[in-house]
Amino acid sequence: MPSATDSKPVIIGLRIGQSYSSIAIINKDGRAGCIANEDGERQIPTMVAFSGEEELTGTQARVQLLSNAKNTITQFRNFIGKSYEECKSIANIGTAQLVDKDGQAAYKVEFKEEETIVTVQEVCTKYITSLKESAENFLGQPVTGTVLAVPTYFTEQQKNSLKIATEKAGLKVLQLINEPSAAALAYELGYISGQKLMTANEYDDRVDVIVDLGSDSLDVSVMSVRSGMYTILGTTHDPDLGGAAFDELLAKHFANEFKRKTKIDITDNKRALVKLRNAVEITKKTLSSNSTAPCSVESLAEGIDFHGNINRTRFEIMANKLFSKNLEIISEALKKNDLEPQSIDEVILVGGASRIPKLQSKIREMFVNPSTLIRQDFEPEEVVAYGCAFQGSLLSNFADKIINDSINTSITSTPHLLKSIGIVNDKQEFITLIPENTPLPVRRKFTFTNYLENQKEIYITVWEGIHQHQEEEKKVEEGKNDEKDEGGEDIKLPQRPINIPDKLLAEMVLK
Amino acid sequence: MSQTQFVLSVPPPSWTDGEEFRIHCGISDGLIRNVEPVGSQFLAHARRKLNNHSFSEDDR
Ligand SMILES: Nc1ncnc2c1ncn2[C@@H]1O[C@H](COP(=O)(O)OP(=O)(O)OP(=O)(O)O)[C@@H](O)[C@H]1O
Ligand SMILES: [Mg+2]
Repeated sequence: MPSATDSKPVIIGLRIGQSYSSIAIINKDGRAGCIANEDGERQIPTMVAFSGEEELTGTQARVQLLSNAKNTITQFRNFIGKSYEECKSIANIGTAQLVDKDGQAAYKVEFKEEETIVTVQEVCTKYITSLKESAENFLGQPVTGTVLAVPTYFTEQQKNSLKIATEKAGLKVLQLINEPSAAALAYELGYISGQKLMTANEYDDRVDVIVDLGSDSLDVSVMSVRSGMYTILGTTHDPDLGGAAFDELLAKHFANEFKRKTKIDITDNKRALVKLRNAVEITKKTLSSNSTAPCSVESLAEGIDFHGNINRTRFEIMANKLFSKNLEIISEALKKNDLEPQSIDEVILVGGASRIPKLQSKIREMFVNPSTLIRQDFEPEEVVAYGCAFQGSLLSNFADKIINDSINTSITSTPHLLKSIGIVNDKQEFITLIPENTPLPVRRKFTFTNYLENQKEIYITVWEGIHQHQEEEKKVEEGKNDEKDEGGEDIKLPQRPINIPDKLLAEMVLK
Repeated sequence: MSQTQFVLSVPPPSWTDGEEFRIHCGISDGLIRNVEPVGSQFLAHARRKLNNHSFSEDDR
């Protein structure tokens, strides 16, 4: 029998969400895929519960949530590495109680008929242990290590604490990577029906926006991609948006309906609210694929069952303000980086709530340029885990020391081109060869062709460029138009901002 | 390698025969940012930096 040391390392990609988590592996054909747990779910509820003598996690914890809410721990991921003081005002109501354990955030539960305090880090370890076991059951072999995704807003302390929790679960942490970078990597290395996905341009220079609408927040990252190197230019995190905000709308709607029908007000009934929120999440998901969806809760309050229905149009009207808020955050994120929607090459949709059809169509409208790709080829909940699995397989060829040396800030911190570098053609137009935000040093090769048959020399001038702002350009276009046709219903698509030559760097003759 | 498709101008009259290049100024100072430590291109970048290698030394 092969010993653990001479067998190949088995690395899984993990993303732990506030509500759901996923485990990804790279299959034999080089594609990423997620593993289902023992209950057949690939989106595994991020929950831990104590029931009598048993510890339950994931789907098993979720099914007993309503009957054992006070011993069920939910929404704990963001509390890792934080103090009780930082967490107390945002703790979930209706499930296990958040308490102070020597300053740390912890939960009070009843286990084996005794009151027990478990810290958030211990909860994470229990949960990650169960993910590891699910992966091992599926793969039929021990899992040795993991690459784990973390939100961009995690502090160093949170990352450290999560790393410790994972290691205590018996998993070596090869690397923690940012969620949006994992998503971008998944799209770069991913294949769909045998076809490589990305073919932007020769050097694959792009500006991507990663929109992650999870359960608890909206996270927008603006990222420059230069020949397979990623640089996050900026991130925006809004903890009030996310799938739960839509659940809240639906819960309010149905609570009102229940009140109208029964005169019972559940606004202050914690238990009823937990039940209703649980039910409307399914209603919301159903509305993403069906035009109407039911909402049913057994014994919602005072022993009375609730049955309701809602159609998609109604939901979309109710959610209109929320859609607008989401779009506002996206456009703020662009503005912070001095970017217009038309300069974005790709928008990558991440997070389960990005499945809402109306939101997708509004995002499409916002990125009006038809050349902007809206990427949703992969399951939005899984794509981050795929990226982790890909990174894990890249790292599995390297020794620990090399990995640790590489991810050191002395290596990652590097100068980036402030302005594009390019040449000027015979019409004095700037042609970008190396775009701004390219990490240095950089090497690129170009072939210049002669235009006369016996030409022996080519003269080129190398310039640094600056962005010309879009507005001026548009005005010129409109002015031209006015002369030609009056009141024509021409729809003008905004153009990408163009570069103009700014500073002559060098002249040279190529022979 | 990238193929460029446009017409380039001829050397100006001031250009002396046999001259190969004129450097006018350097590029603007770069902004220090963090590259994300993911993907194979990053690993190649890290290897060059750790070994203090240039691109061409790295090719060998
Ligand atoms: N088909 C669907 N339509 C609408 N919403 C959905 C759909 N499927 C899942 N969701 C919602 O997506 C959210 C879960 O997404 P995801 O797993 O990405 O979140 P998370 O990573 O756990 O949360 P966070 O990123 O905030 O930590 C939930 O609010 C869920 O209800
Ligand atoms: Mg998430």
